[in-house]
This record gives sequence, C-alpha cells and structure tokens, in this order.
Amino acid sequence: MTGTNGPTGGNGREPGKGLVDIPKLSAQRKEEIRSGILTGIRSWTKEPEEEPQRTGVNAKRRRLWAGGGIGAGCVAIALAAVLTVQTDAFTNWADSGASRTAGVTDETGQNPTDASPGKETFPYGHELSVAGVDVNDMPEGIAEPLLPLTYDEFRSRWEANASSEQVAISAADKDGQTLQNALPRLNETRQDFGEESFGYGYTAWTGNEDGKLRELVFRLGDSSEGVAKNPADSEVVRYVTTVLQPGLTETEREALLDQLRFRDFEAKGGSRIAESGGLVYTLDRNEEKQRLIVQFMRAEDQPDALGKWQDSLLDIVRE
Amino acid sequence: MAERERDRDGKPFLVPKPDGHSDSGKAGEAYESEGERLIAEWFELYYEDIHQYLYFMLGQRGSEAEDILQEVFIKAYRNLHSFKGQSSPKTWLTAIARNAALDAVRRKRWALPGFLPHKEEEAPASDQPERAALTEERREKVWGLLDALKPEHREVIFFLYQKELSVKETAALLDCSEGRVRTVSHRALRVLRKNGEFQQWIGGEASDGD
Repeated sequence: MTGTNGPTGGNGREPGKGLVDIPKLSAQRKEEIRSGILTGIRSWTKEPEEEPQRTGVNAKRRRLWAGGGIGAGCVAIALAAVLTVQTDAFTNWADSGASRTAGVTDETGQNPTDASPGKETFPYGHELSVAGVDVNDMPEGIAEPLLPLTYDEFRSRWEANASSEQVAISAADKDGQTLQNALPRLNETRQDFGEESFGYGYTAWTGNEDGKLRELVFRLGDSSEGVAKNPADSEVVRYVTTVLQPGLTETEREALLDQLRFRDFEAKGGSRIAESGGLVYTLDRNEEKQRLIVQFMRAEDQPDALGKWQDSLLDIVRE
Repeated sequence: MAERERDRDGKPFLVPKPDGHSDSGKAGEAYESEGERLIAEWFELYYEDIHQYLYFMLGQRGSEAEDILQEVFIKAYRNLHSFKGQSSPKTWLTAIARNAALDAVRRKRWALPGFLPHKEEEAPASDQPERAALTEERREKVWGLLDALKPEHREVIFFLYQKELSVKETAALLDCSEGRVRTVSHRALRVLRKNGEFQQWIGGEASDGD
C-alpha cells in the first residue's frame, strides 16, 4: 500500500505523503459518525425499492445502452478473431517455413518467397482486417504525436548506439517480424534483442500510413519478490530513454529514471509511471513479469476519434 | 455463520452467509443484527480510506465527506444482501462511495455562490509562520489544480498519487482493467500539466521553498 507511482509531491512532499494533507477524523467525530450509522440502520425499515417509471426517454436510453453493448461485444469478438489469426500466423511463420507462402501474394502482388531475405513483412497483411468492422464505418482522425518518430528512425537509433550485449539486436531475429494491419491501421513489429537467455524483446505499434510510433512495449527479465532478477534490466530502461530522448541532460535522465525506479520499501509489484517530452513511460511488475511500456502522446486540439479507438484496442491487446 | 477471509491489505473481514450471521463484532457492543455487526466491523477497518477518498473527490467541500461517509455505510447495510464476497468489502464500499461522491459532485453545480471553502480542521502545528503559509498556499493551489479534473480522472489520481497504490491495486478497487487506469491517468496528467503551476505544486521535481 505504499508508493509505487513516483514522487508526486513537489515543494517538499515526501513519498507516502500523497498530494495533499487530508485531515483525519477526530476520535469524537468518528464515534459520532459510527453512532449515526447505527441509528440510520436501525431507523430503516425495509421497503421495496420504487420501480422507476419507464418513460419514453428511459426506453430510448436503454436501447442506446443495449446498442452500445452489442457494438462493444462485436468489436471484442472481432478483435479476438484477429488475435487468433494473428497468433496462428506468427506460429505458422515460425513453424512452417517456406510452405507458409504457398499461393499467397503480398500487397504489392509479389510472392513473399521473392522478397529479400531478412526483411520479412508479413505476407497476409492485406487480409487481416478486423472481421465484422466496416472500415468505412470506423471513427476518423488521428492527432499528431507530440514526439513524432517513425519505427525506422527508432530502429536506426537503437542499432547505432547498441554497443552492449544487453541491447544488441538479436542475430537470430535480425529483422524481427512485422504484421501489417494487426489492428485497424496499425502495424505490429516484434523484435528480440540482447542475449537470448535474458529473454528481452519489444513490440512496436506504428501507424500503417505514416509509420509513426504509437506504442512500444519492452519485455524485460523476470522479477522475484519485487526485485529484478537481472540487473541489466535497468540498463535496458536507461537505453530506451537514450534512444527515444537523446536530448535529455544527464540530470533530466536521472530524474526520469528515478521516477521509474522501484524502491525497497514499496509494495512488491505494481507500476511506476513517468511522463517526459510527449512520452509516457510505465514500468510494470506483475507477479514475475516485467515490462516497460512507452506510449506516444498526441495533440489534444486535433481530431482523434480513430486514435482513441485504437488506444482502446491496444489496451486490450496489451493485457 | 460467516466466513473470515482477508482482503488485499491483509485485513480480515467477514463474508455474510445466507443466514446473515457473522461471528465477530466489537467487544462488548450490542448489535441488533449480524448485519449491523458486520457494518460496524467494516467501518472500523475502512472508514479512514473511504473518508480520504470522499474528501479528495469533493475537494474544497471536504467537510461534506463526513456526511457522505455515514451515508455510504448505511447504504452498504441496506444492500448487504447483494454482497456475495466476490470482491473485497473495501472494493464494494469504494464502489458505493464512488456513486455517492459523483452524486455530491453533481449537486455541486447547485451550491450557493457564497459557499465558504472548507478549511483544515487539524492544520499541522507549526512554529514557522512562513512554512505554514507555504503549506496552506500549496494546499489551495493543489486543490485548484485538481478542480480541473473530471471525477473519473480525479479518482484515479487519488488512488495512484494520493494513496500511492499501484495500477493493479487501483484497477482492482475501481473494478476496471489496468489499461483503463493507465489511460485515465495519462489523460488526467495531461490536463494537469496544461496548468503552468503543475510542476511547482505537484510535479516531483519542484524544489522546496524557492
């Protein structure tokens, strides 16, 4: 029950103190309230709850709710269908080798077997639309990211500076796996890095039209009793901030990393969140699993209905 | 009889059985029913957390939190039959408190314009007037910043930054996904950061007494 979300109190606030002082109830006031509750309980005689009148407005509202529920259900089913296809596709990609490409052409009409080796854009991308979702009926508008960065730029920076074995792109997974339109108008790229035994990797979500990053999820090593088993995890977190925000001063970077650092006295597990330069970093410890999520914030004064809808899908996928 | 279990904080609580009986209560207290005994026990365990939540949600009208606190536990008693022990009592009471707080926030629109803001009843004693003035100034500034938030944003900020719970714990208390907590938190922080004074009064990097 202690702090897990970073220092929040400027101006002398200490961890565990919260944002503001909330006065405690005096013993006398507490007893008054307690007594008031017992009085309230005893004076209450059970009466049937009055059934609200079903007016036309209420009926309309119920229909709207029902419609919303059905719509949400459809999206959830559709998403589950896509994820099933996606999971199968990745499994097939790994398991079936060249046979997977038989009779399939990619978006350019090129047979995937002709594609340059190593750059294996997933060939079924054009077929992976969300079943049951009419692309003409999707919300419109994605606001510009506050920190515009394409996946290629990110990848280039990552490779250019990856001098240590903790963050070097895995030779066995040199170009990762890209799935186009894994979610509506979003591409997904999975990439392993670091020593294989560390189990490091990331998933990048990018807009399929502009290639700009929307979210990065870094898979870190396991933790035990709230402590990372592999000290290299913290180096990976530092490296991520270096790649994404090379312009930070050392003081700024240390402050950012400090917000993402779990303290010894804190609860085992949980999350720490830090915001910096249009990015929201979330370091998650859920039981033994650790991950770092980086979300790219978008301008608030632009149409963003599609962006928000995609966010809600990413929330589901990330779970 | 009731079954004794433990909630997320490790606090023991009783789950009412269909016969409505529990097996424990405040020593020496005469209760007219086992439901009463249960509510009294929950009050002892959770009144402080629920009061803090209500106070935070109501901001400058924090004194109303005490009245609503009472309402929450009475309402819990009236609906005790619907509590099946599938969530912790704290989660259930928090849900009741949320509805009560939202009702109160809606009523806020009808508040008299001359309403006097609530002052801390137990202001921290200080023999340093400057420090005390700074504390009071900070308090008012923080409440002012929080007033920009919608109730659903405000409550997430309460659990994450006032109570300093994890995203997981907050999601459990609010009965929603961790993803939703994160999303709401990000949006709330965006709103807060729009105010140029955010970093000074809430942000962690502000220096003391500048």
